[in-house]
Amino acid sequence: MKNLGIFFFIFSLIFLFLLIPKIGSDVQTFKILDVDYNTDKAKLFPYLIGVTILVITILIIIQDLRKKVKIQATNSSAINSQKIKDVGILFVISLIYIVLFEPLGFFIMTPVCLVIFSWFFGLRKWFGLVVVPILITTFVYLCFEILMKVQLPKGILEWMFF
Amino acid sequence: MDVFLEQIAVAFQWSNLLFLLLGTLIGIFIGAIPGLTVIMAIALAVPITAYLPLAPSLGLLFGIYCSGMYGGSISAILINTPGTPASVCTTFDGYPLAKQGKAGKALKMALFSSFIGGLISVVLLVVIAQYLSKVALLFGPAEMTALLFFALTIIGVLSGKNLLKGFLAASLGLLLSVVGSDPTFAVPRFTFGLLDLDEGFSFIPTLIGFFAISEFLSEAEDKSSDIKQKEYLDISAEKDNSRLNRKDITSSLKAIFWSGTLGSFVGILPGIGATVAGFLGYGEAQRISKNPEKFGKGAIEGVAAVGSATNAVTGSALIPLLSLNIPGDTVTAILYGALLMQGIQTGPLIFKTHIDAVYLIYIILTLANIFMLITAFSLMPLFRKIAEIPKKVIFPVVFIFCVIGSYSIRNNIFDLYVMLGAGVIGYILRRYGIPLAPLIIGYILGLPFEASLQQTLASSDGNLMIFIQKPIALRFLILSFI
Repeated sequence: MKNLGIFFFIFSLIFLFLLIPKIGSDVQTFKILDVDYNTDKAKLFPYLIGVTILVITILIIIQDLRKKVKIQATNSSAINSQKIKDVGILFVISLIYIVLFEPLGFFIMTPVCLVIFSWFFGLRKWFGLVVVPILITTFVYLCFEILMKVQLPKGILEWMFF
Repeated sequence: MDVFLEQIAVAFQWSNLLFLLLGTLIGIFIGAIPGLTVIMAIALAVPITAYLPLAPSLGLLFGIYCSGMYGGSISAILINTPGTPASVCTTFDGYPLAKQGKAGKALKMALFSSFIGGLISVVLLVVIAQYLSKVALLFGPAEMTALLFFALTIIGVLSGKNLLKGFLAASLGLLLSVVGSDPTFAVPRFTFGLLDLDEGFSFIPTLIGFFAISEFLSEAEDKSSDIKQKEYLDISAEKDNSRLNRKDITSSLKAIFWSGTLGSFVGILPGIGATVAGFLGYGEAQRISKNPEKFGKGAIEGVAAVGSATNAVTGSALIPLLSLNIPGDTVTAILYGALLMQGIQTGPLIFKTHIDAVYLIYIILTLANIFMLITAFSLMPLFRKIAEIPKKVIFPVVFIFCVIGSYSIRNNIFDLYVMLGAGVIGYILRRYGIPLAPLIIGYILGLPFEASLQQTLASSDGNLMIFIQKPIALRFLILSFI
């Protein structure tokens, strides 16, 4: 928790002294009915939040020092490198799915991604790896595209739908 | 009276009941899937109603509205992912109950309390609608600011033992809300030149990221823990754990009625909505409970309070719409459009010019709650099938629905990055024991809170004494500190 307290303490200082002053710096004209408005009012609420976070993090750091808590995050000690690696792999697969969602399209990415995710989570049965991805892709298509008129990206298969 | 009886006959026509049933089924289905919101479903249903008469249109829309509210609690209980923003609080106790093998009990309680909450709301709409709307009219910016401040203090209740972590999370939520144009002068803040951020982070993708994607990433750590899941599913198969007994109902009645009444009142106030009602209802139920320490660990009262509070918004949100022409929330704003397409202008004159439509709204809203109770109860064995699907099958599918749900809001790929980013931040905060619920409360309340504060300060020339001078605002502030 102490690490987190220090992180947010530094973050709040950056927020208060670097980010907030930049608000409105790119606003060229701000005049309504011959009355000049400045952008300071837009800074008020962020300042209040920044100060609140600063105060809370100071209190968190003091609380940790009083309790003499060892420098370690709650629960984080329980994470071993394998678990971090697994989370990282899952994040990368998710990111690839999102990046290729529009270029390759929903119909290619969804079944492929379902197979990869299911394999990652330890599924080895052919029904789950073959039938479920096809069923889910079809179901999502029928529900969203046909029933709810949501335009799903077709990607390289766009030509099939015209 | 003749008009009223005539409208009952209209409402009970087979075709109208069929559309009500269809709306109820869609509502349950949409509500249960994370990322698909009632708002989106109603918005997509409105164009269909343009081709229908008033009664089936109302049946379809109210069916989706009422059942969608309940549907959100299904996935909240079974897979710890709120199907709708309003059912966030259902995860606090619903999922622990499911883990204890009491998913059926939690689902039934959520349904029963939603039904009661819905009825309370209808009664308020019919009987004391005009009186309550007059009270809500007294709320100026100062009162609204004080009310929102009161809602933010509920965080202290929600975050449990460590208040500092709760307040840090809430502040981070408020921080998220300031990204985008400021509510008063539309000055862009923290957008870093990205046009996609001009309106701030899209709400649904952010919510899905924090609640579903972070859970999805956490699942990678426990991917070898299917044995643990199998254990609780075996327990859930036992009938006794799923039965809702008299003791459960009697112990939750106080929470149901109090949260339902609170939710109804919140529903009347424009711009607050079911999500805040759920949080307030949950917080108040914990406050008045004899066993507040059980909340968050599987308290059936917690599930009951949220169900009642969120569904209590459905009817009361119509009060300002019908009597003052002010939509209480996004759903009623869409309903306003739907009624307009039917040639019905809401506002005070509706009670004179279209009293038949007003009666029809009362009747169909009541029927929507009854249909929700019967249909959801009949389909409950199907809900439980979801819990029996192995995690390694359900989590990839949940991810796909999250992505499609987030994408379908604006058809914008940027929202998917927001979703994933929120998921990673949510995962890290979870690891450090920072509760996500206060973060979401702060995020939801941030914009209205800032707008009310700016309006208050503008009207008082920056004098903070206005909060003391206004009796309602003062009461809310005192209540906050209690």
